[in-house]
Amino acid sequence: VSITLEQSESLSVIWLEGAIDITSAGELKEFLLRALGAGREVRVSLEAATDLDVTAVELLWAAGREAKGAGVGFSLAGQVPAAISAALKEAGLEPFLDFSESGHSEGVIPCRP
Amino acid sequence: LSTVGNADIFKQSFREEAREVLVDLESALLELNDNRGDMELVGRVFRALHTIKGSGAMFGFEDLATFTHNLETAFDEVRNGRLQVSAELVDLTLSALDQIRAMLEEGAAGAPEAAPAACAEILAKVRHLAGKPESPPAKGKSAPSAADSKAGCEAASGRDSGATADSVREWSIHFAPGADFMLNGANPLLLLCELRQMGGLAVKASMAALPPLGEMDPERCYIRWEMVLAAEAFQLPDAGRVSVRGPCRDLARYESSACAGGSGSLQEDR
Repeated sequence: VSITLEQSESLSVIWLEGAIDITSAGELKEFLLRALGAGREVRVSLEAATDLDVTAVELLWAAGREAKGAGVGFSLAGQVPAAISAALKEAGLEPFLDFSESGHSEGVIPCRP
Repeated sequence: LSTVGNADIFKQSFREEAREVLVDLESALLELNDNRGDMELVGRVFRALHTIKGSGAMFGFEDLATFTHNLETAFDEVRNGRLQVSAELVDLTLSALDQIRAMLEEGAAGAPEAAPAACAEILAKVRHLAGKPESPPAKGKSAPSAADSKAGCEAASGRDSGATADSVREWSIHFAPGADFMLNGANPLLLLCELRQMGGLAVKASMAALPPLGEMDPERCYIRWEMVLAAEAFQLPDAGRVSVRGPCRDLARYESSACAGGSGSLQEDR
């Protein structure tokens, strides 16, 4: 499991890898707060995540809500792995990872260095 | 979404789920036409109809629920070996799907309208096939007692063998995990999974209880779920605060002492 934050002049990117669950929830919250605090557009990559539990979903959703309130772009970068989408859909949580209304819907980021 | 009432959100959620169920139902019917003795396909058709009927009634689609109930009854007869799958039954059910779709989308711009005469004709033919006079949806029947609910734990695990249209009911479930729920190692998604195995489940999650990000306890589940489960009487899995509303007024209260961080209850509905 790893959570990393990369910041450039215009973008904060949070990379999530492995199973993102309650054991990393505190860390995820801190990274989201730091990214939002920087005031730059935030993108979160789930491409290398293998699992998201409810704590991760609600933290991401809360961060998206706060970004929207502050007028800061917030989106997912790249694809959500199919297994994660399927699991979230079963629990009625899939709509909460749709940040396309935040105004920055492209969600494209350069390849990870 | 703030201008849309809860009822509308649930209705929309039901429409979305029902559209998916109808697609599966249609493909099951087409497969069934080629494999008329396949009881697994019969079960799939029955469960799809049951889900549409149950959730439909719960979300205010009364006409749709009543219409679908009659089809469900016919497929219950098939499941119990009292009626054979025939090309006519499959054709009638496929025609019925078009009417169900129309009822589902009623009011939407450009949607086809359900034709009451066609519906009546389909039902008359289905009842004739099933050798049954008109049968209204099972409502107001005696509800399971608390003891039945506990016995239902075993029934639920083997539901496919003994379930009948009459023993399956709709349960409205409110699930709000307690503050310590996650810390105790429980996983709400597993509970939903467990419920889903008991029958048709419509799920609506809500983020309404989430505080601002900075104030969140990252190890707590703030998400709440509203669900409708179509199943026989059952015992709640051990979980946080779960309340269940049955369809009938005389449901006994059910208290679960085994719950971590909350309590489970069966409550009177109306």
